[in-house]
Amino acid sequence: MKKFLKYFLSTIVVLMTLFFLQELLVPKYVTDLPEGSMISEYYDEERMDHDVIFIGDCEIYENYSPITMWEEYGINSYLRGTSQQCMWQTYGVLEDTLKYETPKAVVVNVMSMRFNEPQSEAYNRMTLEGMRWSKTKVDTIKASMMKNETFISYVFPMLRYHERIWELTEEDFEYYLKSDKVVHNGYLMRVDIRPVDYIPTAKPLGDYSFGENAWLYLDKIRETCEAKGVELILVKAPSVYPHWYDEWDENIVQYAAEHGLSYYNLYYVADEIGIDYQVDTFDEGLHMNLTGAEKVARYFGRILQEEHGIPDRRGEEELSRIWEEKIAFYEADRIAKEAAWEEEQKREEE
Amino acid sequence: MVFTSSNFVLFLIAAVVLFYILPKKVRWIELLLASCLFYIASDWRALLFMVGTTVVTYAGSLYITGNGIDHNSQEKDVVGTGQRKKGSKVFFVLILLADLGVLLVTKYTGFAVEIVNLFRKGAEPLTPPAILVPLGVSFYTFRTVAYLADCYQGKIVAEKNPLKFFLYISFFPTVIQGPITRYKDLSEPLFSGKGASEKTFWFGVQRILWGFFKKLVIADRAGIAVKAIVSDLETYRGGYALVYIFLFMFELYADFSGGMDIALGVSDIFGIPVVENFKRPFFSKSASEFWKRWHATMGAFFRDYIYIPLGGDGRSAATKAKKNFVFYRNMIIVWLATGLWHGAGFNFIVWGLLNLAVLLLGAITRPMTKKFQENCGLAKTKGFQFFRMLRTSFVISFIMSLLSFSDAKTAFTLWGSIFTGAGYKEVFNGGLLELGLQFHDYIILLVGFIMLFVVSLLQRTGSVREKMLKIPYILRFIIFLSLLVSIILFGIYGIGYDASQFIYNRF
Repeated sequence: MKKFLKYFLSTIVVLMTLFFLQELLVPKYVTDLPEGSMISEYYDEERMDHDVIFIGDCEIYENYSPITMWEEYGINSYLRGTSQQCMWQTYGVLEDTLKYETPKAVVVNVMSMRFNEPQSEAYNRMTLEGMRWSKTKVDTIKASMMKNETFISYVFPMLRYHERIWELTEEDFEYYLKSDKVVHNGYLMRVDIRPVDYIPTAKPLGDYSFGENAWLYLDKIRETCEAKGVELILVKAPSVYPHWYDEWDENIVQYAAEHGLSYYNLYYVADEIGIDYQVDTFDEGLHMNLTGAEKVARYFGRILQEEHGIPDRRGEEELSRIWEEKIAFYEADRIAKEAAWEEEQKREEE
Repeated sequence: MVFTSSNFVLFLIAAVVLFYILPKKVRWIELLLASCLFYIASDWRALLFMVGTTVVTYAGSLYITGNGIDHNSQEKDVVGTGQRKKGSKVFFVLILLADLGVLLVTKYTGFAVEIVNLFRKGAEPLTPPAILVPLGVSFYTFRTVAYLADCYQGKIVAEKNPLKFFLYISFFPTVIQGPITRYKDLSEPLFSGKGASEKTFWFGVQRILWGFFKKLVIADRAGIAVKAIVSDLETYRGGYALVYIFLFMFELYADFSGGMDIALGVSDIFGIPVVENFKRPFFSKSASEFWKRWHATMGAFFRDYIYIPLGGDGRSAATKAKKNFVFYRNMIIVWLATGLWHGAGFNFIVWGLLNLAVLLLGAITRPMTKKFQENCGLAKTKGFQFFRMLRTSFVISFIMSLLSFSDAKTAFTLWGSIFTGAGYKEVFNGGLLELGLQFHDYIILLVGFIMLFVVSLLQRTGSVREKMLKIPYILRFIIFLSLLVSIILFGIYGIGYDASQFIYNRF
């Protein structure tokens, strides 16, 4: 018994040491690279009964403001976007989401159809590490891993981040074993402005068809939505770059037509949306800033409501209370970020 | 499946759990299956070579010793008597050639073609055929040779169970980089399954941790600077060459002895004591002592199966001239073979000959230096003994650095640059920090060096793990937890590093 206790306590101490060490070493994704905490923040939602879930790459989490969609149309939505989210990850995020709720519509950004193979370990981790453990997560990791990655480093991220022992910052200690909310229903707010001065000429491609893997996962996304009775809507955000070729667009148009899906290329209707690429982007047209994201949300929210029957839920008391809190956080974030942006401009002028 | 990979750790956990669950009588079967799996994980085709060698050696050994010898009843009569079947000598030589033939063809065909091309100047150079070099072929071939020779000499009774024999050849902790175990030492604990206990388990775990520390924290860290220097020898000369020689020796020692610690630790977990391959080599006072302490099982193999059968140092020769002839001939053969065993290339031959030169110089001057030391009263002073250790380590480190180059000329050029005075100022004016290592890396290497030195000091008076049993459990626990945390935090692994291979796997 004494021996058993000795080994039992020793095991506990070893496991606790490793756990606390791991918590220190993993990136906190709060002030630096907040994109990394977007997937996990979803699980903190008070209510899991969103009517619309947006899934995709950065063109999702930077280009639509769920707050505006709520304020203007009473649409209860959430963005589950992450940087360079490939289609197999979009599928994984969809499957994961459907474990918690069944929305009326899922909006998928098609920009990632251009990727047929895993692209980047860093982006993989920002998408996958925040996901809760399930078979879906295991499958998505396996589908996403680069050649030099190991599965075990996802199970024990310390094995990946052990070198951070030399790079620990104040953030690592400030957010040790805790985290702050960084996004607004998945929307990462940017208020700074970098106008579009120049759009690089797109290189002609030898082959404009998408890869088999990308199609495979788009099919899986569609089939999963069909099985769950969720309407799948395809979108392309109004970003000017990376270039979205007309031939690519035609591929998606055909696919949507074949399967009776709605597809909206918002870049083609940028004028109608009212986007001014001199003020509505923070990185020369790659993504919208806050004003741009609110314009897109106003435009697309109307489509969701009028063409897809997404209900106005502002009449629901409890939901309205939750959104009031979200709006307050949104406004506070806006004020803080605008102040920071003004400061930065002043410094640049000096 | 490399020892430091996560796959190996998972594989080992599964193998250990199963081993302890199973009845003792059948544990060897589990070890056999695990060994096959371990080997197949590298390349299943390589297993075919090993099976071929095993079948030939197994059948041959039974033939040599007389197929009907009973393991139990006649063992005492056979062992030590040299009893063997009539005409077995021819058979012994044939099987030996078959075993060595696989090694020669797979490992040395490319080198042979290179030599042929040297004599075909002007002609289109021949292209060496692409031949699979089975993992650990040098090690397991030597194991079969030793087994066969021991059978032939009647030192052991041939194993009748082919599967047990295959386990002896393929035992996974030792198959890739040794030690070169002998059947008589390994067979009983390997097949009985009785050796495992709580103590051997924890001793094994501790030793594995120590091996991981040496490999991941020290060897692969030193290896970063070694690679940086060797990749740009135009820039890194002179002072950098000394840094290179020291760091490469440090890397090689931590890498190889770390690998041995893992191999022996894994064997300990299964309750199978395996012969030590490293006996504090840097405490050696001469080159001949060094080679008894460094990769000791390889040295013992060459001694027992080449040097002594050829007449050893010639002490039984009739005349002094013949004695000298036998001694020098045997030394040349052994060190050429040792060089070639390390690799198929002229640099390995040069490496062997340099070792030979140092050993012969030591042997020739020994009477003179011994007399000098006694006359000056140096022989027993600690300072002089320490000087001898440093001298030996310094000379051996130079020679060992040859192993890291593809040709000897590059090594000689690097060594020569030491005397040009180049690079010394740069090394200590930030040059060390340009080799891919940061200040903290050098601190870790220094701490690692001190730890290795202290452990070696402690080993002089017995097993460190036995000594640690005498300290309170809580202290022992803290030491090994710190070791585990150090490996995780300071180990060189993950994306961006190729920490996957042990240097001696190549040999």
